[in-house]
Amino acid sequence: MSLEEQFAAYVTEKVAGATDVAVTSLERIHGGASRQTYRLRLSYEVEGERFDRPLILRKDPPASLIDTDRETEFAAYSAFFGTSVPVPEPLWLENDEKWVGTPFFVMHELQGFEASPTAIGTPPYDQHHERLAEQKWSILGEIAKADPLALGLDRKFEAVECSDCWRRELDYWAAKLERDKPAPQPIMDAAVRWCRRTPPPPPKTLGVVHGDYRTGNFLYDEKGDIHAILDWEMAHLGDPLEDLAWSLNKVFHWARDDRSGGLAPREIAIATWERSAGRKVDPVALHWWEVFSAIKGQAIWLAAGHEFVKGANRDPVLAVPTLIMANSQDRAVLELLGKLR
Amino acid sequence: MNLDPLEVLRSASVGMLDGSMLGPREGYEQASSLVFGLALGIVADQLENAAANLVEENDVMRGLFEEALAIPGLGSAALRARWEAAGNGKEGSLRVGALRESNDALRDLLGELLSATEGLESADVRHLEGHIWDELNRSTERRAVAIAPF
Repeated sequence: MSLEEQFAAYVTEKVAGATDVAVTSLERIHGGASRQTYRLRLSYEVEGERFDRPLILRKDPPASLIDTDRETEFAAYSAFFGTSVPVPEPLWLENDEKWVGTPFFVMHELQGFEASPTAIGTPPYDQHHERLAEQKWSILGEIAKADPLALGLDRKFEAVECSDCWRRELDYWAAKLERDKPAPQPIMDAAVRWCRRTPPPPPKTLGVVHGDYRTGNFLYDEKGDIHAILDWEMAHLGDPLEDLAWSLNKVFHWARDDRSGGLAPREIAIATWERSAGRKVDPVALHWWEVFSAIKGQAIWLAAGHEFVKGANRDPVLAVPTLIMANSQDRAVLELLGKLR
Repeated sequence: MNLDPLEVLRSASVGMLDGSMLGPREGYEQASSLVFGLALGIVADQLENAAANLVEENDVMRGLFEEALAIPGLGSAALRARWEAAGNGKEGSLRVGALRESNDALRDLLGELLSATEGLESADVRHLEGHIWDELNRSTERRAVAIAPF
């Protein structure tokens, strides 16, 4: 049975009274390496009324960059949908493999927008970097000040003490780096030791952390407006500075100059975030989270190559991060540790 | 050698990037071809200099272990014995795989050496630590990828 037929059967059971269910225009798209992402059109009839909508189906892959939890991503979309943080409307989460062979979730497709981190540096998008930057870091500020309790995410995400945010994240990513590294990592190992020797001041309150907030993970248009924040699979509770630091990681300097995320100088990004989040950045804490973000980044880039080489997932998009990003990530951490010559 | 394998890789890379190798593709297949073409090009560039870089890097690291041995009291006896063995080592083969194996062992040990220098205040140790960071900088330059963002 094709994926179209499998999904149509699912919708027939899932939507009460649905008849004449049709799944058309299904195609796989590059929607991140953590899930197999498909675009499709779903139509059906309920009591004489016709429904027709474009959807995104995110299916668990055989192996991915990160040990992500589809429930985490779906919970984040559900929590933020309809708030000041734009996200696509989440529709269904299915953990039963019987329908399409793996667990999956479905959301509305926002059409006509771009997500590519390289296209953003080309016309017509390059005319709107100031506007895009303003929106990018303002929305991140909105995420930073969101109350996890009010959003119900305290019941979905693992709890952590403010004083322990840094340790939990560092322990997880340092262990992942150790497990998946194809070769010794003396620079990253030194960074891990530095992080343990100089823990950051804790946040005053616990916030929602997107976990992968960067250019490439939001939808934007030709007028410089951002329409949705995507890829929440690494979302968790923690110090919101973690997201700000990740967004400033130099491996995301797509324009190969000093603009964070290929959009704006870091000072502008930080000031925009501060205005939106309603708080000042502690530079000591931000610096710690930037070193951490380099460790986390390297763990992800190396895990990607690891999956590709061992054959668990032969999507070529897994090979490229290791080839392109790993050395850049080493350079980035050299600079952050004050060791770049 | 009648046909340079690196040129074969580069040609395959171009063929994947411009669609001339596998024919026109659309959507996910086209994106995957582009990504894989990019990967092939990077691999070709990395292989071009791999042996030279690894030989150079391994030599520098052996020198650093000799420098460490000249500092009395630095490291445990067991660690110093490993530095000595590594410092006296030589390349058994110029095969990239063999050079990389040596490189992995030496870089592992270099990481331990760097860790052993941390928190020690003597001028000799600080000097050595500076040399280690110099080499770690050079190693990132050797591994640099032209299209990398940083």
